[in-house]
Amino acid sequence: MSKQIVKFIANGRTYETAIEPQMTLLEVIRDELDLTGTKCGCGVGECGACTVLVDGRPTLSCCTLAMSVKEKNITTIEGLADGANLHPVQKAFVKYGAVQCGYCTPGFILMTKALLDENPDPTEEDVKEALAGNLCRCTGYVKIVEAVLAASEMMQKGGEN
Amino acid sequence: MSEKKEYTYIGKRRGVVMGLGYSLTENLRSEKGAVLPRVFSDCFVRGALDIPEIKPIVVTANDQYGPFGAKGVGEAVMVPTAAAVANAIYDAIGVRIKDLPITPDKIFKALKEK
Repeated sequence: MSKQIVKFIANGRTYETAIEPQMTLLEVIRDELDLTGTKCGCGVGECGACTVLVDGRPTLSCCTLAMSVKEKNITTIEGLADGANLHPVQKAFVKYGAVQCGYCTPGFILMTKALLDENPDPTEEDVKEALAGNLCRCTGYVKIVEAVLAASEMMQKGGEN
Repeated sequence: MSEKKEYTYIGKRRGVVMGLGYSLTENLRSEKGAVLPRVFSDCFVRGALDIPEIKPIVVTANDQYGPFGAKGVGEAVMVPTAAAVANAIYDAIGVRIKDLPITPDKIFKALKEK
C-alpha cells in the first residue's frame, strides 16, 4: 500500500508523517511520533494498555486505524504532566502504590482522566466499572482503585497534596 | 504504617487476585511446551470488577533462608488462595474438585454425580 502524508495532533503538537492506510493508531504513536509511553499489551483490544484519548474519549489505539483520527486531538500519557509537574492522577498513583511494573499504568491513568472529566465524584463501583477494561497483573487492582478515589478527592479540592 | 513501609507489602493483594483467577477462571493450557491461549479472553484474567474485598494480614516471621530473614510477600499468596477457594467449594457442595479452574460446569457435573 502506498504511503500518504497525514497530519496528527498529539498533546497539542502537530506532526506530519507518511503512513500507510492500514497502520493502527498505536503503531503511528509509537513508531512515527516516537511517543512510546503508550504500550501494546495484547494487540486485540482486550487489555486496555494501548488506551489513549481522542477528543477526550478513551480509545483503544491498537484497534483504531490511524487515518480515522487524523487532525483530531489525541492525548497520550506524555501529554498529562506539565513539565516536571505531574497531573494529580499521576501523583495519586505514585503515592498510593498503584504502579508496579508500570506497563498497564498509562492506559489506567488516561482512562481515569476520562472518568474524572465526566464524573468528578465517582463511587468505588463507578471506578471499578470504568476501569473494567484495563487489565493489571501486578497490583490486584486494590491500590489502583484507592488511587483513583484519592485523585478525585484531590482534584475536587482544587489542589494537589 | 508509614508510606515507605507500605510499599514493601503492596504485592500481597496481587497474589489473592491471581489465586482467584487460578482457581476459578484462568485456564492456561500448554501442549508440548507451547502456551495455547493467544488472547486474554481465552484465559480469563480477572479485572477490577472481579475483585472481592481483600483484607491482607501480614505475619511477621523470620525466614531462616531469606536474606536478613526476609520473606516474599507477592505471588506466593496465590498458592494458598487457590487451595482455600477449592476448600470453600468443597464445604459448600460436599464434593472435592481437584481440577483447576473450578468452573460452573465442573460444579454442575460434580453435583449431578454426587
